[in-house]
Amino acid sequence: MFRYALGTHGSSDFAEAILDASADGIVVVDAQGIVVRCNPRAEELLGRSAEELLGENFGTVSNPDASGGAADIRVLHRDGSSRVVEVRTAETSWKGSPVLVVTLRDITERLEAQEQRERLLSIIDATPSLVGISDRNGRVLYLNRAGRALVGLEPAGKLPDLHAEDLHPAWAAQRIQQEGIPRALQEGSWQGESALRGPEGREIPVWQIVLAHPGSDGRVAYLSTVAQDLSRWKAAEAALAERVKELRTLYGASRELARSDLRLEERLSRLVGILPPGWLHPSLTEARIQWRDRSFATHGFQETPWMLTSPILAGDREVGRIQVALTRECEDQEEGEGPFLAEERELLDAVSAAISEAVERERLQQEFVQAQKMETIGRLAGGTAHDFNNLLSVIQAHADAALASLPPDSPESDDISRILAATFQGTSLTNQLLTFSRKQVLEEELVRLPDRLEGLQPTLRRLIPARIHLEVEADPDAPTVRLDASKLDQVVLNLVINAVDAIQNEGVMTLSLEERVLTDVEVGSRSGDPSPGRYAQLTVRDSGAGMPPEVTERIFEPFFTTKAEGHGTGLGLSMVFGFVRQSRGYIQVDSAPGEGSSVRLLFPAVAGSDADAPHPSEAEAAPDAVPAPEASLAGLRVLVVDDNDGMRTALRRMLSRSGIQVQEAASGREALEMEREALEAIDVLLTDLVMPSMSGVQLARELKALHPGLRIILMSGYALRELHAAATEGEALNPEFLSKPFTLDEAREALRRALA
Amino acid sequence: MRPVRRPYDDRTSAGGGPSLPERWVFRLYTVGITPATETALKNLREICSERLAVEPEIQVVDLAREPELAVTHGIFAVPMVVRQAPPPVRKVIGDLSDRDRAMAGLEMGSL
Repeated sequence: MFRYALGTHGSSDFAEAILDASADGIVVVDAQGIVVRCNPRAEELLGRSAEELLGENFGTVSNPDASGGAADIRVLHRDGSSRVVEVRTAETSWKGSPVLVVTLRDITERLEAQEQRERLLSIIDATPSLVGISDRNGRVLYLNRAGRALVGLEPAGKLPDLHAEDLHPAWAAQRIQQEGIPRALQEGSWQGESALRGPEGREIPVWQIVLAHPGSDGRVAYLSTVAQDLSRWKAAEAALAERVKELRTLYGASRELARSDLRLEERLSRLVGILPPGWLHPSLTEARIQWRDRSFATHGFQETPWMLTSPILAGDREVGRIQVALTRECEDQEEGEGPFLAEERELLDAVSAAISEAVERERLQQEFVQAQKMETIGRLAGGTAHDFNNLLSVIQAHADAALASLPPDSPESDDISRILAATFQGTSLTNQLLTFSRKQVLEEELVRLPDRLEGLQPTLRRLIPARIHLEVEADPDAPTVRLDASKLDQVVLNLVINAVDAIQNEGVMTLSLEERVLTDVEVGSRSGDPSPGRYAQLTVRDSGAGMPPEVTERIFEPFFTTKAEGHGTGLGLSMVFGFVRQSRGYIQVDSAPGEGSSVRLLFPAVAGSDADAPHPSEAEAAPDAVPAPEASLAGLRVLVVDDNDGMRTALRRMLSRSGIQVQEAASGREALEMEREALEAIDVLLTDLVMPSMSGVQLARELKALHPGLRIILMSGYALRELHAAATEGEALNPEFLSKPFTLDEAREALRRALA
Repeated sequence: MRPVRRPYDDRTSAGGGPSLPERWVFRLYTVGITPATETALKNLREICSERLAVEPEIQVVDLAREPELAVTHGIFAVPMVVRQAPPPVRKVIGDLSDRDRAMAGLEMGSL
């Protein structure tokens, strides 16, 4: 091995200068790899001085020169750090011996820069936004992967000749040209809404940033841009705006429906105008609401093939509907319900549900108000009637007695007869009131309506003037019902009389009877909603003047009349109402001005065989029945209990004329204070039902307990059905009922029945 | 100076006497295990299987774990393959991809 000492003697200054100046590290080794020479840069890289390195076994190089930094050779500094180097070798000879000149070029920084650039490039290629670079003339130099995809180019490979303008639709290119680039030049960057031209000419909305990169001459050398695809965001924004619109429409609809200061029709009319703005294409949308026979529509509404319909329901029954129609077909709708969005369907259903609710609320409210009115009036009427009845009874009884004691043809007799007749009229009036207030005691029985109607016809024909044609259509198979037949007659008469009054000149009146089966809860009757079932329907129809809605609403109110003063009490129809209700029936009225009226009475059919109904010849044939032949009541002992003194006196007089022995008590207590023996001697207890301290029923119970054989007659001008039922239920009282005011004959009848 | 070349086979000992099988030992120095390290290893094995009749012992020294060895063993660059035995000790820098240079450097070239 040869060692070559460093030194200036024997070496050329030129070569030395070159070695020393080189930015690369140079190590010269002999054939065995021993260091014979090295330069300052090599000393730096290795962290050792030349003196330390000389004679060291450095090693030879086993990589081909052309590989550059690929072999990743590192040079190790004494302090443990290392630098990546590019190694080149040259074989030469020095002073006659072969040496290897090893050049070490530090490429550490270059490598790091390269790695960083690669990292940045991978980000640019991974981002879904477009990243592009153009020269100052707009020629496209670079487009990242996403950018190529957005504008429909191949993902990699050489870019075709493109100008930046080619990537945008005209309006966007113009914007960038006139606004974007100048601003970028001035301030360094610009941002704004723009668009790209996608494949098939599709416009892609983007948010675009333009950057200007100055060159060394101060002018723009490059322009770069980043564009973020806004399509999804814009679609989401549009969808959100639609949902908000739909919600606003729903809120508006709810508000309108809640306006209790407006009539329902008005609310619906206002509501219909609120709807179109909630739809996707408001200028093409029209709406209509139909309810009962009313219709509210926006100005241009027409039925078209592109229509949404939603029903308005009362219970399960459709009472109207709401429709939204497009005036022409729109292509840009989503898949789903034809030309409408699924959300629009939901909106319409929500609105129709709200309307259904409002309609129902309205109806119930009206019914409630009406029922309350009737209830109040009924109570008033009932109370009044009760008092009147008592008075009338007194008058009747005394007049009766006076009549009996007068010679038949005397003038006084005539006077008293007229008094008596007037009291009967009075009682008829009070009865009507009582019937209305449903405080009448009804004597119910099974009735075959066809037969009953037939029996009434002669009377009806007498009542109906010749100018009016009467038609009777009675289905012989109409079901049997249970009601008070004589009261029914009065009701029919009343309705017929009203119909006659309604027909001014000539006309037609129809009386029809048929079976009616209801499968759904009916709405629209004046007295509650009939439940499903079988009914007998009696209809009185006239071709008269008809009534406007304001009148129809009130006709059953007592004292309500359209007739002039003195021409009617206004009690007739209220009596009909009360009777129908008390008989568990329903009443329906249809009328319109100029179209006549029809009143329908529905009575529930009696379950079971119709053959059970008694044949008419067995029942009362006419309203004023002749009472059965008299059996003597003389010697009967009757205890009369009533808190009304006049009443007791009248009764005593009435009964004693028949030979009845009458005892009196003013109250239940007084009666019970009587001697035991005296009580046991009583045959019949005739007591008022409603008395201050003890009721007639209570008294009857107590006395019956003492004297089981006692017969009971309860009397009242105010007989409540409920008390009736309570009195008979499960007890052995078995009372007879006498409703005040009653005639002597009626009283005798009752006594006979009680003794039977 | 001309390099001294020694003939070698496993039956020849260093100076006369009964023949002992030769032991070949190489050391591969590296900083961490890199692709270059693996290439060097692969190339070394190929060279040995071509030029040697025996299996060599190859040690791998990771200077990342024992950096002080770089100084004590005189390792100036990595990857570095050192022929430890039989002498002479020769050092070759790189991944041995230039076979001729590699064999020359390790003095395993053809005679």
